[in-house]
Amino acid sequence: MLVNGLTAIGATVLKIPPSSVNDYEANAYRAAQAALLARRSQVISCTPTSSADATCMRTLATRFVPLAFRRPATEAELTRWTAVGVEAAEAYDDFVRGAEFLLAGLLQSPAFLYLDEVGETDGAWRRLTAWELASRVSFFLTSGPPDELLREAAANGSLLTDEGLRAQAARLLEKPEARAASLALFDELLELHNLDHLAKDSARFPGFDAQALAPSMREETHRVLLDLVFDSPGDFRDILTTRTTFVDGPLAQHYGMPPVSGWTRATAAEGRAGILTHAAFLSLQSHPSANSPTYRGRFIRERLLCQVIPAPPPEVDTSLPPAAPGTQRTLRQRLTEKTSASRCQGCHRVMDPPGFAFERFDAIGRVQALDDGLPIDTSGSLDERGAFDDAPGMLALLREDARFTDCLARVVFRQAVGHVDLPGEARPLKAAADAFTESGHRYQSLLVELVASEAFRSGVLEDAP
Amino acid sequence: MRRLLLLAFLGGCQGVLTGPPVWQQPPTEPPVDPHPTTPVTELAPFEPAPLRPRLLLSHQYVNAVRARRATCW
Repeated sequence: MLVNGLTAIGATVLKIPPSSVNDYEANAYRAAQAALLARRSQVISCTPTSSADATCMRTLATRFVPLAFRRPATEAELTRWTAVGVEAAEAYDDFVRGAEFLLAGLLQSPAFLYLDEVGETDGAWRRLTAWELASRVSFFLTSGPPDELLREAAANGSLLTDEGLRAQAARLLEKPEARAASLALFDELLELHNLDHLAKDSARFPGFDAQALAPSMREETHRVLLDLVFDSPGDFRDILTTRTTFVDGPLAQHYGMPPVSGWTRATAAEGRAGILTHAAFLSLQSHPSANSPTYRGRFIRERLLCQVIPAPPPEVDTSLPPAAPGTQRTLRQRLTEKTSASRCQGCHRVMDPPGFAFERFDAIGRVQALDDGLPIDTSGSLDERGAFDDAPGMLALLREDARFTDCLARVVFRQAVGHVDLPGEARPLKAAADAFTESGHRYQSLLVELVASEAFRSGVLEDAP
Repeated sequence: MRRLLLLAFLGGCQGVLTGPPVWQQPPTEPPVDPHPTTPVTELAPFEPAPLRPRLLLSHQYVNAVRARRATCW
């Protein structure tokens, strides 16, 4: 569930219906059964001397409770979970069934299902324990639980030092899982998950099969991001301006490029620059049959500049009427006329100018030379940052805009901690953004700086409502 | 019994989490530039945010299970 555009925030308010709990319970048993079927000797490393051998069951608990809870187990927990396994083993007269209940129970335990952080007293604040910090950094950077080296760093306390934490973060970023975790954030930030149900008007775009091309659209943006973040690390702001891209056969055809075989690094055509001129973004931030400068501009305002754009008043008809019969009007002209009222201008004068920059791209991301037979005006200005002639010009201004780098730091931080940044966190976030700038805007540096920030490592306990 | 505990725990969370916290409520203010390029030293001293439990579902949970299979089993 997305809240404020991020699953990580949704995870703090997610409600679980009883039917889902039932499904999860069944799946927990299936997972335990599968593990015991496929790798029994690895799961049960001791040899039980009886069907309800408590010593061997405790060996299982000693190994799996700390892994499931991502921290050392207390003596009471080991006793309790050993008893769960022994009780089931006695009931079924089968040690393996007992192990199954132990494992399935662990998978249903709140300590396994939740990142539950309470920290330790540190003056007026709480500082995350080494084990809590290990889980927080691991799920943030790799979308998974702490690995062995991270657990070692938590156990020996080195994770609580600034250099130890930075070293672990840098190490985790070299793991393959870090690529998937970063892509998961970019998917949410760019709303790429919505490509799964992309639909376009077949009358307006005959022959365009959205569902057939959507995977290629998504892959193109993924490849450019991975290239800039991991494979050829460079200035992350280049995501807005680079003409380096990747296409496969169907996408090359869609863009009108020469045929290619398989995924190929390519140079985007003149007029395209960065991921916001990819078919994925342009298609997603459009209507089924027409462009939406408002959607495209609002995305830039809200997602890239962290500005707040209220929803239109409920009584307002936001549909855009077609040009009057016998007249020719570009979409820009019609939208400008429709939103000329002062009550509309408060937001549309902010959203629409950057959106108009993309008007040479249609609702499926292809180049369009004319709009209703008229020349297309893509010029405008981005606040006081300057004037532009087209999308590459607007995106070049955005690239140099400090609000973009500050916003990026804030959005990534939200993913890391599961809440929208609060005013009291502005100082460490600004410091991380400044360090990101000093690093030459290396995205991996931003991740490390955020992990090392006070805001990532500290919290306060919330009063019960 | 364990299942009941889980249900009670999740149910309890639902009760506790009824109504979004302040920072998750829909914005109502007009568009402004909320993040001027103020030097760090001029920003207010750091105040940490409330710690809240997070459910490891969705892609995080799926990846966690995959990683667990790889590292544990």
